[in-house]
Amino acid sequence: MNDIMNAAFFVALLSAALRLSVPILFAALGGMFSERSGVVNIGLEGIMLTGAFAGVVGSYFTGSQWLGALVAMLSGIALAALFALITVKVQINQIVSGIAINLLAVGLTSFFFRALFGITTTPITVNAFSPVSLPGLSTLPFVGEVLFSQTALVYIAFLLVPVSWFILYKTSWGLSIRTVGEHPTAADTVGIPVNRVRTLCVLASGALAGLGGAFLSLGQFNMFVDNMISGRGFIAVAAVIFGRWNPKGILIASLIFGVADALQIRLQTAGIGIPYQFLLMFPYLLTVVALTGIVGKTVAPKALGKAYAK
Amino acid sequence: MVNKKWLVWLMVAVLVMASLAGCAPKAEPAAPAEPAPGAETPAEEAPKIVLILPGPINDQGWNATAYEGLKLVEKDLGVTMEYVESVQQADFESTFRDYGEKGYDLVFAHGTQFFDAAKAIGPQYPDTFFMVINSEEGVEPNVGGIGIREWEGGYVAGTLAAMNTTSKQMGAIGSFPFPVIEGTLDAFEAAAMAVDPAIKVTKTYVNSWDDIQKGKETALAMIEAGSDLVFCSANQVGLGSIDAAKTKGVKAIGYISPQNEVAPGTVISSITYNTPGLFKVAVQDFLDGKLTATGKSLGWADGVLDVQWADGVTDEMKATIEKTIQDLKDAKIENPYVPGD
Repeated sequence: MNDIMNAAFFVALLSAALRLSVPILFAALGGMFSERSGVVNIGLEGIMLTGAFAGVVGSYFTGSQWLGALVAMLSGIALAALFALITVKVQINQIVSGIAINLLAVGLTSFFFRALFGITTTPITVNAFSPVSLPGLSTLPFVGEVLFSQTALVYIAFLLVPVSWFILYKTSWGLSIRTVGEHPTAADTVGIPVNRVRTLCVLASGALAGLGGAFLSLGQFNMFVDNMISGRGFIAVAAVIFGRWNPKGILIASLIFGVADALQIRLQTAGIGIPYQFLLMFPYLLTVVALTGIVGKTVAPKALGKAYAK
Repeated sequence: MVNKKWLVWLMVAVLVMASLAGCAPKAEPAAPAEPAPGAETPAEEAPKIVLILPGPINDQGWNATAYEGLKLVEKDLGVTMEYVESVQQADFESTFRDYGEKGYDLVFAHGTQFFDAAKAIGPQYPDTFFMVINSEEGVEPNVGGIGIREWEGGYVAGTLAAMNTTSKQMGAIGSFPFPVIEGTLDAFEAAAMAVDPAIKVTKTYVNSWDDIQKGKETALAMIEAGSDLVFCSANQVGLGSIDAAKTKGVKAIGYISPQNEVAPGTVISSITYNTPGLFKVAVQDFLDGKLTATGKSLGWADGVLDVQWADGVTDEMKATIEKTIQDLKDAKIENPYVPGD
């Protein structure tokens, strides 16, 4: 108790926070593209689960964690394609479709796991990512260990933040995406193929959420466990809103969730007097706060959740 | 509105796929086995037994062990059982009613969470016996429970752990603070302190059975705070804590399933539950007409707990463990758990 507030404690806390925020960051960046184009993607949880599973399958059959991650992205895209078909083309309610995707993913992963590996009581393990220390940077005092000896997927996640920002605000694609999400009729008038842009954005969200799932199964572990995402996809949906639909905000939101979770784990193990139920509630309480808009007024894309038909 | 037909067909397709994929409960009769020699099950009155599971049989944990139990009963007693997977809380009562209506002789429900439903539905179907796994109580005349005295497992794990710590600090992770899990962690602590009163055990709950990342991070936090051994009673979450121990180069104790090969060198040995054995005992009692509407609990003395030794356990440690197990068998050790503590 007396030694919990020292430098080593903070280094460990930050390191854990980083690991806990990465899957949320991946999925939330994906969710951002989808929502910016006007499609609410509640299915992130299911897509992450599929990605976690497909990553392990890919790594199992190819022996390469990189190909595993690729398979995870492709599986995410495939599930997102189904979601895009239902929501953008057929124009069924996006929330209902998202829930359907989540339920479908639980069943599909379980079914295919059984078909491929049978019924086991010990986990099937595969090749996975190991931490890469960046030369020079990783020897920096304190921050070096936290920031620069992580797995490759962690660097990719954080690199995606400026990349997403650039795409969204500095390219004509980004302008199209934002226009489609704000005012699809106007976008259509100037010749932007509204539904094609939306479909592509949903596919991108699938690829990123799939990678987020693979981070859990291949970046943190080397195995797939039923329901291993455990609600992180829903936290990602909240992070998109909390982060006000822009990459920088989403980075901060993901880190806040990561720190909250890492802190509650540490406070609990440090044995301080706060009831552990209260600590466990902490990240979810933040989610509720985010969704109620207490943290500043959040302005959603105007056409969010509305299908576009000519 | 152009695509209304599309919509209907798509929803139907999604629903069908979802249920095919095992989302919805479905009954599958297990492959019929050749009756084992000597088994008293004449074909014309083969007992109708069904196993109701809260999750899929390939969860690599709790439900998978029940499926193994089904196979064991089939192999050793020549009795085939049906099973239903992934039955949700809201469907407990209707599922019980369904099998009661169909005149099943014995209905297994895999987990204490089924107890309230069994209590409510049981009296309506007096010809069916409802057996709730891990329930510590029964309801006359036809609802019974059978379970493992998990604290006995935790106690042996604690004894072994205490002989393998050098920092005198260990972490114990539980899923939910249910009495049975709290009891396991308390027994772990009590056993460790019986070996060396200076040992400190940090106890934490993760509120999950399958959040493997939370298990890993919790164990990492414990190790960073000075623990050099972790113990976890929370199904899949345990795999996360073992992974953390491996990363940090400290030790872990495998629990529930044989986990030595998950991380050789890290897992110093596993204390395992022989859950399939529960089914064999219950079905044998059923065949002998000896089922009682009480909560029956089994421990080391009944062979439902076991040790999977790993290399590196000294003969001295083994001797101490064997003695602890013998003491538990002889009921010389009292359950240290105090409810509400």
